[in-house]
Amino acid sequence: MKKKIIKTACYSFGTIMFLLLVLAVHIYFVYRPSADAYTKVMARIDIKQPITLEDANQITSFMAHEKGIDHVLVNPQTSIVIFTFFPLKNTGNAIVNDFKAHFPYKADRFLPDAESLKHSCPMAASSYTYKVYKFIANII
Amino acid sequence: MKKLTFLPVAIALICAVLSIQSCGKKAAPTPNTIGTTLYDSLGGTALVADPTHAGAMIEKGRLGIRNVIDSTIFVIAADSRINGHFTVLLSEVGAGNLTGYTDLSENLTTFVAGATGAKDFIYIGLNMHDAHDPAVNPRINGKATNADFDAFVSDLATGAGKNKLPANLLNSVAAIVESLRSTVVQM
Repeated sequence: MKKKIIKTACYSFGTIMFLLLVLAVHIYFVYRPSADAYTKVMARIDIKQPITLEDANQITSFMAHEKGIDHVLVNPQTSIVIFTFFPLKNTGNAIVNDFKAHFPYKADRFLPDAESLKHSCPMAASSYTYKVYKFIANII
Repeated sequence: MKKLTFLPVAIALICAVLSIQSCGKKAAPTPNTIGTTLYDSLGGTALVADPTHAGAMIEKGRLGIRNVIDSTIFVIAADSRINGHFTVLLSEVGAGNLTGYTDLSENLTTFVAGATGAKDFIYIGLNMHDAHDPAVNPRINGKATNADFDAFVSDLATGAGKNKLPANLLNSVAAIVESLRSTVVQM
């Protein structure tokens, strides 16, 4: 009798653990971060020559009319173009290609490599505590 | 039934997270508790429509701070003096993560909101000393210098200016940021 109770308890515990695992996997796949209509990506174009304030204004005007663009900033002091776009509407490379086709500047999109991404931005918390918090906050 | 099974797990997880974050609370910025807070001056807790999320509401104070932060992030990203510290801004959406831009905007907004006296947001990232210490935080690519900090303050002022933040409020925010100089610059 005692053996039977222990056996039943073990099966019950195992079943509950299995169901919890299935539930956890289900919740993860439902709530994992994924791009939606509000997701924005930031991208950067380095212009390899000096530009004037007038050039910067023209670039801003052109970029603002590109499909999927959210916001643009051109720094004429550094010849850098920063823009955010909605990845569900357009891609960064397509926008950069349009830019290069429209303007005569020698310019390239700056894409950081994986190593530099690991060592940048102290405020972008990557701790497990933060990830768990964000995950739960997303569910709630 | 699933909800009933999940509820205790969720509560336990939340308690665990809250207990862990409470350990780091001592390093969080001290809000101004005398009279009206700076957060109140920035708009406070009144809910307004979030212009970037249809149908969502956001506290007016947080919205004002987020606007300044987002503008500042753009200025920083185009500022070759310090943008090397923030290349994560340019990361693409990948498996299991959104963009560095989204994360940085949210974290900085929450941090500044807390520093200005907001009660409804908790910053749970590293404290400012540890966040800027390469020995503790491998994500920072070197110790920040006074010149880096000056550039950050300058970019913040530019970002605030783009949002027409009144000078008195900008000065108050700048004072809070300046109070962190000795913590951030560890050289």
